[in-house]
Amino acid sequence: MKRYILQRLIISLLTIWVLVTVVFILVRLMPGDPFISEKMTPEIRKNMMEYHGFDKPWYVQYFKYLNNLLHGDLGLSLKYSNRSVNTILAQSFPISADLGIRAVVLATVLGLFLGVMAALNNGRFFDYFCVIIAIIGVSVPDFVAGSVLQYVFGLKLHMFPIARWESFRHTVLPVVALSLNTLAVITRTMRSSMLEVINEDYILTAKAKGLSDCEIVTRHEIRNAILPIVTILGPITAGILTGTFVIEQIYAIPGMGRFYVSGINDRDYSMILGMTVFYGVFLVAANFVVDIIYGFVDPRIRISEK
Amino acid sequence: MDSSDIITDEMFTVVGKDIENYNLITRPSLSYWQDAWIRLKKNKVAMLGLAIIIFYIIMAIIGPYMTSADYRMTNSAIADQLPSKEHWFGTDSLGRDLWARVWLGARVSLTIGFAVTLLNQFIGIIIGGISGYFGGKLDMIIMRIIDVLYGIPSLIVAILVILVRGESGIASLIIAMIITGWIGSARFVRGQVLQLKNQEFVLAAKVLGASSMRIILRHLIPNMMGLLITNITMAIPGAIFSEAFLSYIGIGIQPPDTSWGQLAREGAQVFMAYPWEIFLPSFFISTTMLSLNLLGDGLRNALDPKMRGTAKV
Repeated sequence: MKRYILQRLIISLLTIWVLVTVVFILVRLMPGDPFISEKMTPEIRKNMMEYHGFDKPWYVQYFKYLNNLLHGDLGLSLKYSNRSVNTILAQSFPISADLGIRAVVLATVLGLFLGVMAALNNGRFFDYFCVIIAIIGVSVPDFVAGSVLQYVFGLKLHMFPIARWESFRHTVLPVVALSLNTLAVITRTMRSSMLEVINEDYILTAKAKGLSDCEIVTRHEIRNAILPIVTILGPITAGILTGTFVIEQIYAIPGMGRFYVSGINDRDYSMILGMTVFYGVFLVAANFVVDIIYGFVDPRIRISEK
Repeated sequence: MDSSDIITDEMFTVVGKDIENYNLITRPSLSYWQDAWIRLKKNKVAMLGLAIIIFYIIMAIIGPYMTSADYRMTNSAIADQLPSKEHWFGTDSLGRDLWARVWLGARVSLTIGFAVTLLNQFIGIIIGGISGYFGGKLDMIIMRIIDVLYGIPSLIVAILVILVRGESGIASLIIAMIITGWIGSARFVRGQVLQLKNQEFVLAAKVLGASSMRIILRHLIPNMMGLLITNITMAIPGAIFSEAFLSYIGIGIQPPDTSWGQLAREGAQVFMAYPWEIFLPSFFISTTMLSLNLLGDGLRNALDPKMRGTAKV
């Protein structure tokens, strides 16, 4: 187990390094100039270039950037003068994280429930109901779900506020819109995984031993069927994260996704670089945690050490 | 008891034995693909999905020519109209004909969806096939590289690549999406090759002196074709979705050209007043994804050798 964790850790660190380097190179290659749009005299422009260190050779910039990163400094935003990427992240990340966590919790709890219930009612009405929900959820992009919910429940029925992030009532529509896709994926995975487990010999054994239905479902079926869910947790996190780009735009939520998209449109190099690195590190860390959890739950990895 | 009821030997004659045709198989034998097709045809839902996809492809080719309206022509006098005799799908906020734009968008979205998926699978087959078949050090190096690349969020890389290329046409979008897109397929193909390469028919081919290239191309790939096709069908919606996402956040196809994602972006800007304009592209994106998912499910069942025997002929 220790070796496994160490191996995953090295791969994660390597991934982060490759990511930082690639993003650094790509951002330097981007056409367009961050200081060109504003009314700038050549002198101010020169001073700005000097101030941000763009006049130095690339390797000096690269190592300076790496050094800053190691100290947790993601650089200054070029657009919002004198605001560091760290400050922007400090304000916007908690909001995005709040939105994301709510969506993940809703999707996981409801998805597992629907998946299990669908498998237990295999071939009956409730099963078809869950399958239809899952297929619709997979087929509808988040921006469509976001707009439709906003229109129907916000604008027409006046049940929830149409935008902003203030009270619990404000969170309902964005969270539902963001979780729909993940909910569908989890329902689908859990259902097929449960259906596979139900036909295993050890379930028959458990029945023959005389265990109650409830005990068989909770102790044998769900526990074994939940493994594939752990493997898709990584992609799910990534999906929720990119989903926030769109949902935050639709509901005017001041989270990271909005700043990222506006950074792209403003050609705000440092902002794109800083935010991409932050996203990347976050996702790599999430994948690392998922790998470790998987190592603990999958007996094949646990035992291979001995 | 009447004598006519008694069965006697004279009542029977030998018809004759046709030794030559004794073992003749009278019914035509079915290949794997014919067999799969028969089972797929029985799956009504999957066939409906297939029909919708084919319909959309045909409309993407001929749709824009069916109306006299040009997809670029703006006319503020007829902006934001609902469907009418002149404009079958209505007009957008610049008065452009939405019928022409929707099918033009279908062209772009479907092209990107199919091209990205096929290229990803192609690269994945080459890299995964080599890695899995030859194994050893080469496999280890490739797998470590894949491990590292796998953690990098693909949509973020796609965004950066499009920004670096500076223009966002179809080509940019396709390149951006295959840069990290092949990884999943390479992993899948490698796993399949590892499973297949130790089976007897591969050994037999080796003993008969087949080259590695021949074994990979003629024996391994045809044997995983069923799963590959299912994978491709399931991956196309993902590519279409990515294109829609990139266009929606503003770095995809640029006007006056359009795609379903771009149409949704334009629709979203006026959607409080004219919900029809976002409903239209959303409907086509969703039904395409739905159809491909249903078809993929059907294909998985039809092509799975374990499901064979349920329709033996």
